[in-house]
Amino acid sequence: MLQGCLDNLSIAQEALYNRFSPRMLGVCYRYARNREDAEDMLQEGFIKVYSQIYQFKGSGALEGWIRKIIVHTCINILKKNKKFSDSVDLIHASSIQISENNIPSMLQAKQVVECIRLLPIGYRTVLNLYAIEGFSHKEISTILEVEESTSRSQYTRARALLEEILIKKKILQKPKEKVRMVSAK
Amino acid sequence: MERRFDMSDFEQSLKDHADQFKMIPSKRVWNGIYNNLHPGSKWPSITVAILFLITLITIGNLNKPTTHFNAISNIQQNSTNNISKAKNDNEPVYQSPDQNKRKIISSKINANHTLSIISKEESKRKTTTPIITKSISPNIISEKSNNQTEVGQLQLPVNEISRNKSKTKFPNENNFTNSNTPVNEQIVDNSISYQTNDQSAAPKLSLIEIDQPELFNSNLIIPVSFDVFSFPPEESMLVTAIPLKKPEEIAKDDAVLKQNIFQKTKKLHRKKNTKIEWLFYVNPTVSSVLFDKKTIRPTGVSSLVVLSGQPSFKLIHKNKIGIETGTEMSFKFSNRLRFITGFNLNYSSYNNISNLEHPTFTTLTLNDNHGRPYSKNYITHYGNGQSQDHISLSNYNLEASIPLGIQYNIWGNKKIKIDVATLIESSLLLKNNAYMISSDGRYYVNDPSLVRKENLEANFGTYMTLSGKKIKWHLGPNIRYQILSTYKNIYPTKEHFIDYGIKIGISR
Repeated sequence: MLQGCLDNLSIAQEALYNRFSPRMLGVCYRYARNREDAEDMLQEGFIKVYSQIYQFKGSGALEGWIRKIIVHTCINILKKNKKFSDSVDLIHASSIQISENNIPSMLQAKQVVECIRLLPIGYRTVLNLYAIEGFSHKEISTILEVEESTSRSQYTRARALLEEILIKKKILQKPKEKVRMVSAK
Repeated sequence: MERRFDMSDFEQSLKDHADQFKMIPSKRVWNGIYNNLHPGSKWPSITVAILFLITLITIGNLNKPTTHFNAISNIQQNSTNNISKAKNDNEPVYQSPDQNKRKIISSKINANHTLSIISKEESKRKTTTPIITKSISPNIISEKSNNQTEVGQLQLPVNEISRNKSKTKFPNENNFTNSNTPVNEQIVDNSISYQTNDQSAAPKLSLIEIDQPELFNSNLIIPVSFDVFSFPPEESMLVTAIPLKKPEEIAKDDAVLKQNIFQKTKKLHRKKNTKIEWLFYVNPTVSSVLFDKKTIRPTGVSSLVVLSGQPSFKLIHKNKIGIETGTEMSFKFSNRLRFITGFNLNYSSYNNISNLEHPTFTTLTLNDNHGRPYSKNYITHYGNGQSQDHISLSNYNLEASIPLGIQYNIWGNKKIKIDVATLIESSLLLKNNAYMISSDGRYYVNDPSLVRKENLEANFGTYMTLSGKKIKWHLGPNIRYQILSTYKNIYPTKEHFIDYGIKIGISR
């Protein structure tokens, strides 16, 4: 399949796409505002995958390599569309209305993702990059062009808010110790 | 550098749940990716579709009928009267010779009509009294038997309401004027104009009063005296039927063919098979014609028309531009040899240089199934082009073919290859027009019933293949020869189309 993609064979390219696109769309969905935006990110990401497939040396999993490209593509699109402008440095956590109506009843994986998508775009991005994708705060600061301390603080706040959402949804059990609530002010 | 997972249960759980989450993307995502990666793939089908449309439009314009009528004349054969039925929906174009000269000096003459003469008994059963509202160019097949001069009726097809609802004058079967005045003055709307100063050549008609004309989609019966037609005694004549395909049916066939071609091109991108290659091509051609005329010798019956001894005439034909377009599938047998099949449409035509004449009787000498010659009579007004004023009569074929053949690679490398190909094409005639020279070589007549519907062609060509990044270009000359004559075997003159062209194709 990989060799076919290197030879620009459409069959191999389609096979690669069919194998990895569902999971990658899930990745994009966590960054995007809606499904259409997520599909746009996916399309652009896979075009980059095919155009840079020759750079894959075979060390490591192909999925991880593709995922990295997809994530960078999502971030670039968000930065290009200036989605961070009103959320990275501003804290709107207190204004989020958390109720049962916000979170549709779905399978738990999707519930978690939908909960993540409830977060403001800046919180969500930092949370995705650090907790799920595994970037360090230094790497995140380079990617998002923010200070490392901003990345740390954003992540702390994002995590606290997500915990609150998941507890409300009863996906996460309320820990015995008091949850640190981030003040909006 | 701080790495990520200072793994708390919360983060691990979050990661696990997020990784499990999948969504199926819509079709547009893959379509967008594919079109971005293979931008040239849609152009062959678009190019072929555009060329096909241009071909259809061009052919439609070339064969636009100038006038239109639909009529059916009945064919009956009995022991004494051979009566023909002709079905023809082409427009009559004949008007007065002066009008014709002004209007019809072009290659768009298309007089495919037949007038039939029926017996008196037949005419008595008719009650038709419509008025012709358009001119008719007759190509009458006359008929007579038993050395008797019969009074028949000139049956003219009409399809329009007469504007003149008053009493109308029509030719009287017993009363013929011998005047040089045009008949169009005698018929209300001046549609029939057998204007001539040669009394012996043209049919002469007199008038009768008739009742109120009606809306009619049938036949106008004009009694005509057989005295006008001078037939050799003891000559048996046949009346012809000229059925023609209606334009709607031909358009429907073209639409079906078009749909098939689009469906075929649509399926090309599903799977790449290195042994099978699809080629879309267009082949502009120059069409010419080759004749192989056989002379019919008399076999002792004095009534037969003899070709020998007739003065010879130089007939002028002009080549015309044609086109062939289609798709080919080649299957690789070996490194050098490929088997080819496919589907194509071919348009070939040439012009006969003719001139307008007064309506004249002429004959074609044909062979029946047993090889015995017989004559068929026509009325025509197209000469053999020997006079000064020339007009062009277009003979054309529109065929659908399935080629079968082989292609051999004689030289090549990764980028350039040179192949030779030879094909046999079995074709079906979709539409045509054919003017044939009469037995005495003086006139052109049109009889679609003599045209062969199925044919065989041989195609030979050499091609150069240039391999690009994503597509391959094919270019090279070819020649296409029609193996069987355009006409059926009963017509002794053999006509073969020859197309010289340059094939331009695209494949992946």
